[in-house]
Amino acid sequence: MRHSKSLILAVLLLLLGSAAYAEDDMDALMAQVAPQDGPVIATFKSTRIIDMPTTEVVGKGDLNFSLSHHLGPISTGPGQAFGLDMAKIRLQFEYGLTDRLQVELGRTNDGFKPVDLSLKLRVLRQSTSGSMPVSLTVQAAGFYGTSFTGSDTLLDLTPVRRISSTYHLLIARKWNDKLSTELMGALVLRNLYPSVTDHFATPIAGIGGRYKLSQRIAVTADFAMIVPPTYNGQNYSPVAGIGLDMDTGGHIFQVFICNSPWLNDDRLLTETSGSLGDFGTDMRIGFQINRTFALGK
Amino acid sequence: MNRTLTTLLLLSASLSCAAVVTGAPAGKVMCRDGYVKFFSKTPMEDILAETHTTVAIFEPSTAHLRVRMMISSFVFPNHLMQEHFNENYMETDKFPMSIFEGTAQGLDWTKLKAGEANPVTVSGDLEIHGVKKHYDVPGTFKLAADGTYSGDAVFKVRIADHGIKVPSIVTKNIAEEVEITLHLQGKIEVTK
Repeated sequence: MRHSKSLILAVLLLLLGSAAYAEDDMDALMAQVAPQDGPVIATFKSTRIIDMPTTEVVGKGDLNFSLSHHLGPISTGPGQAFGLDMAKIRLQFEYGLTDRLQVELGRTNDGFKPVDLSLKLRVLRQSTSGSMPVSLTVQAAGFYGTSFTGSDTLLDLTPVRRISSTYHLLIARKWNDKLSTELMGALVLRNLYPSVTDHFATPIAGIGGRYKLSQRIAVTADFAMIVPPTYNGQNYSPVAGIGLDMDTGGHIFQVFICNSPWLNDDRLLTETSGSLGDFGTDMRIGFQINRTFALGK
Repeated sequence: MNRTLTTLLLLSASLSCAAVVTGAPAGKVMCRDGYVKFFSKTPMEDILAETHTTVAIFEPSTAHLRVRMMISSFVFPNHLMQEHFNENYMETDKFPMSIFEGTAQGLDWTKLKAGEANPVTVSGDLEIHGVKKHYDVPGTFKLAADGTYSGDAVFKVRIADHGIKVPSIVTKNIAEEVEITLHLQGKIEVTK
């Protein structure tokens, strides 16, 4: 009896051994062919969380068109369609020169009505194996004011004075298929600023993220502030927003509530005065529609 | 006691070399560069993706075929389509691989014509998007003069059968049934 027990064991071991061997040869073959590591994709669905740029760049030969609005304060009530009548608009084209580098052209109808041009470079990309834990992207943008009104026209508006620029350092991590977070460091250089206590250079820090509720819908939030908060003497408010990303298959539709009227980064980051605490008077509805066209092959 | 031993021996023998095919060569055919094409056709849009890194092992002696394919290896003509494919439909993070295990049926090695396409039916379970389904796929099997074995098949996969959801807004752009074209080839590398 004991004899047969050990025999059963031997046979079982043999069977297990051959089964394991069968998988071993497959694993060995896979290891030769399939890349064991690859880039983490779709950390974010769009090139912006809400007001903060994401680490994403459009792919080579792809053209992404974005139409964004920040409405007036919700508190303006039904008479102004909760801010619709004060809507600011921004058009933006992003084109992928390579899979890592994109150029962007934008125009905003707010403030100095700036035209802006930026370069965004994906420096590091998070890898599936974890050997690279984060994605890192840098962006530099130049804004050129095209329209000055009121007391601003009394200034000597040399071309240099019309220019401001922003520099972003973005670090993001996709923690799992639902949660992605991002840290932002930014510097804004303005040749025109609203008061003598203000500065040419303004440092900004920000944090944001998204959480996917389903395959197509995600909750997003971002927050950015001047550091230290009293740096430019104006006690400007942090910029914050909370929203939803909807992936319709062809378009990414983003709708949100935020506290800044600005759509151009130079003034969004430095001159947001809408207070976060006062939801009634300062919060506004905004949205952004993104459509990518594959131009190159 | 003796009967138990005999039964066990017979059992183990039959399990370890199930259905030995007469006339088949020993060893294993290894495929490293298998080609798979994915084609979705609708009046709105044709979507095509290809991969050349499908891996397969075929044992002529048992007619056992195993195939593995990394979903992320599919290359689309456009970057965004590829991202949507992996992120929204195939959920590649969760289900990185597609796996097939089955047997090639109807192969008569004694009548096999070298250099010609011989009809064969491959039966087995195909796992896509974490969902297994049984398929009987007709195809052809060929043995070239240089000792290269190859297999070809074209078959349809209903994406709903594998739990892949397509939102109603893009149902006009993505076919309910996609056509899969498969070409596997390799030589006997492991001889035991």
